[in-house]
Amino acid sequence: MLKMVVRRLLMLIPVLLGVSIILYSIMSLTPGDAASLMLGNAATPEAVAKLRAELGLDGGFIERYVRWLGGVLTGDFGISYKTRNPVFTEVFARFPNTCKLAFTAIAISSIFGILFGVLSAVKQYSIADNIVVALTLLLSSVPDFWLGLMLILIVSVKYGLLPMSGVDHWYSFVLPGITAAAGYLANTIRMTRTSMLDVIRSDYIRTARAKGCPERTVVFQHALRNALLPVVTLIGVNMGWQLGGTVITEQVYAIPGIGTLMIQSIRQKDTPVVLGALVFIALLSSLINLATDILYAYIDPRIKSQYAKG
Amino acid sequence: MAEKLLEIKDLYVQYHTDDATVCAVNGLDLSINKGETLGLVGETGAGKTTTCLSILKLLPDRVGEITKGSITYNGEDILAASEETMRAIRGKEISMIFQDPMSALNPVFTVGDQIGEVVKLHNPSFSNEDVIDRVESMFKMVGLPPERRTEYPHQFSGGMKQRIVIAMALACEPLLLLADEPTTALDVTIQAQVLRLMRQLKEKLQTAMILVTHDLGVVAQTCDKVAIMYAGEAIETGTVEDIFDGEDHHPYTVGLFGSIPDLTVETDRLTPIDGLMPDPANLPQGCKFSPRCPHCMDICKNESPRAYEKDGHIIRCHLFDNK
Amino acid sequence: MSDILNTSMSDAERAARRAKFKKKSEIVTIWHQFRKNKLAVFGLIVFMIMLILAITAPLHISYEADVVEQHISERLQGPSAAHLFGTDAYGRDIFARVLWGARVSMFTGLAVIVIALAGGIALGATAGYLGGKIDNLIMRFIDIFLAIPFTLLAISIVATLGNSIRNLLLALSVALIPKFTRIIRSSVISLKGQEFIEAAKLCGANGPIIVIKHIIPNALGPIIVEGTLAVARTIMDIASLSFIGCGIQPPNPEWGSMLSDAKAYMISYPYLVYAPGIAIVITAAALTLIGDGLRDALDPKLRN
Repeated sequence: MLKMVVRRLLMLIPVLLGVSIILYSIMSLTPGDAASLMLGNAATPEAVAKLRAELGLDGGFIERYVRWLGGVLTGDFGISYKTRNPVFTEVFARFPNTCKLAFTAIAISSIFGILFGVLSAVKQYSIADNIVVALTLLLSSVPDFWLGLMLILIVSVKYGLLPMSGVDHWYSFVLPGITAAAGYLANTIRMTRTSMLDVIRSDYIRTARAKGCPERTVVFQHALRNALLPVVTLIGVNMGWQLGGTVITEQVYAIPGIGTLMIQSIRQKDTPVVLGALVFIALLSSLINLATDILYAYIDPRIKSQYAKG
Repeated sequence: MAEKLLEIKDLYVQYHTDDATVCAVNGLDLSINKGETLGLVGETGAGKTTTCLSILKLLPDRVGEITKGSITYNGEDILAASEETMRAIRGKEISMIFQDPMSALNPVFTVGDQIGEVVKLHNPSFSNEDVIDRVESMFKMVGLPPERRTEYPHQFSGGMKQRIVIAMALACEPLLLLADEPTTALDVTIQAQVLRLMRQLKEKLQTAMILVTHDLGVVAQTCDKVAIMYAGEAIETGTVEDIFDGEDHHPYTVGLFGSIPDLTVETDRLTPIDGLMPDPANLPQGCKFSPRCPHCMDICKNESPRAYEKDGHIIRCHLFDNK
Repeated sequence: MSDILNTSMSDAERAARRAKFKKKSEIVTIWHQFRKNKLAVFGLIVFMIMLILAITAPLHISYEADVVEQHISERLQGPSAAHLFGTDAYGRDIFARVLWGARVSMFTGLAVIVIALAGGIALGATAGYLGGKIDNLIMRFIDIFLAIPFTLLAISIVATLGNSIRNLLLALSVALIPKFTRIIRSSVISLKGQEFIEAAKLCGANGPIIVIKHIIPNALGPIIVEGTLAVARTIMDIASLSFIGCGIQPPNPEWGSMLSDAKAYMISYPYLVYAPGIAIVITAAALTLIGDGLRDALDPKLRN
């Protein structure tokens, strides 16, 4: 197992390197020269050149990239054009908020997704199943930001139950969490339901019934564990995407997270911060995907033995 | 006379799909005594598996339905029994071996746990050690090394998986074993091994067995009684001697025997039965075999034949109306 | 000898005719199957109505006078007979803007999927059919793109290139290509091993012909299903990006950018956010129903 984890970690290196090259290239296409922009029209060419050297903007593309990457590897993501603070500090300061939001959303979408999915599969064709299926369609067709606006209007404005913005309390994250979870919740319900229906019709479930297992055991031990295999992968992938997907929710609820920082930096043409935030999230989501794969191997003995052999 | 263990009378089972209602079993009569082996023979789609699932009341939810008839097990009316009673019977008194051992085992549990589960379910007083003891003795009984009980199904071959399934089915020493084509999915060489094993175990545990198969050779070797099924009916029932050596037969039985090669008689070609099994969603009137029957009479097309019986050898055919 | 040739010729002809017949009956079967799914048919009808409204919008709404021009004297009026959905902060009729927005959303959404599918088919078919080193190269490249969360990739592309419909189109297409490439590659690989492809090869067809004439038509089913569902998602993504200011800019009547404008006023004038949002939900839901219906209709497992 350890060997497999190490190998997967090593395989991650070229991917992350590629990600950094792509993102760096995209961001370096930003028009305009940051140094002249910062210093204004009145600046002397010498001052501009000096600032460019300071910001690491001199030299060819490859030279700049290598220098930047070297910095990243030692935790130095460069300096914000706007605040002149290290990018890492800026990004890391917003990280807890994004994290809290992403994990609230993942918790909501996983718990309710599996619950509703199992319920609707076990009670196929019942009223409960129909309601869940309709809810799934609705959730998958509502854009996050509009759901957010509606939740604010109903829950916060009309009934005053929960705050419409801010990060001061744990319950500040309830509405944003639901908002960010919606699409993933729909996916998780769908996947759980389909997978559960597949498994319930399988031969080994009939075997379990023929043994005299009570229905509860059949559903929750024999069926659920098999049905959850693909769902676990989905949740892992969702978690990675979720970190990137909170950008929009953060905007709706004015949460000072990485997404808000990024949008703000895009508007201010603060390229190092945008780049830093992007790379940070890509790294994180890759690590989460890796963690999911490892977890998957633990719950599916077939895969585990594959790794043990290889 | 031996004691009657299971009796099926006038059983009707239907499957409802979006497009049609499929009549899988149509007025089936069967009975089996303690310790006896009954061979259930018929083509694919004759309703053999459906019959087994009906005995355990495991027909697919919402789709399969027993519409008429009775199933009595040890004096108890199975069709009226509660789900709780059925759970106590399944695995303990009546257990089933399914057709395909490849998919009959849960891939995420060790095989030992899967056998242990049925032991523990029906022997709640057993300690964990008792359960493991039983599992290991079952492993030895079916000829597998007991230490492999901690492995997962994917680590076994098809024949070994079927041994595990058999061990699981026999773990609680059931009174009745339903074996649904237990060897069809296996290689020929493994088939013989598995059949021998089942025969030995059956004798050792005094278990009655319904052996579903379409292999008449297997029936001749293994069974005491035979029921030939066609389109959801037992068209001929009797002892192995009645079926293999008796004089009177249902035309379908005659056709069935005509379509298997005989090593002792030299013939140029086999004589298959013309036509196909009727569509169970659209059964013919009268005798269901009439469209394919070489002796078909007018009455066959309109009226279902009654059962004709002579010393326990039952034939459902109008040919015997006068006897 | 000539006899053999003759029979084989007529066999081939018969096979060709049968294949043609089969193609036709295939579409009929799929339609027959699709029609049985009432929800999918409902989705199709709703989508058709939306599409007709969008196409015919210019006939009864003037883009300049009704959609873009501001009428400050009429600003923030609630729904009424004159303004079905009310007016926005600039006095523009929301109904006219939502209707025009359908044009923008649907056509941009469709265009994104067409571009992304073209890219995905080109890359996926190449990788899947050729295999080996080229496959490896393409797929590693795709893996890298897949490691960047979709929204972020799209945002960063729009951010660098600047806000415009064209750049949004480009960004969303580029962000979607990796996903389509994967799907198409796997169906090409599964088709490649089948006997009729071997047969085509024996008949002397070369790579590109086999891929274009034999493989892609057979992989079309899943591609159409994925495409339909992706249009639904893309319409939502366009709205989301426009909402955060990384997409279609005002005064263009895009649903997301309308909502972005409305956000500042929504607490006092909640009706501002209803119509554009509901329009997105209806369009996306209709497309999802159609996509699901197609998936079920194409799945032979579900046919019985």
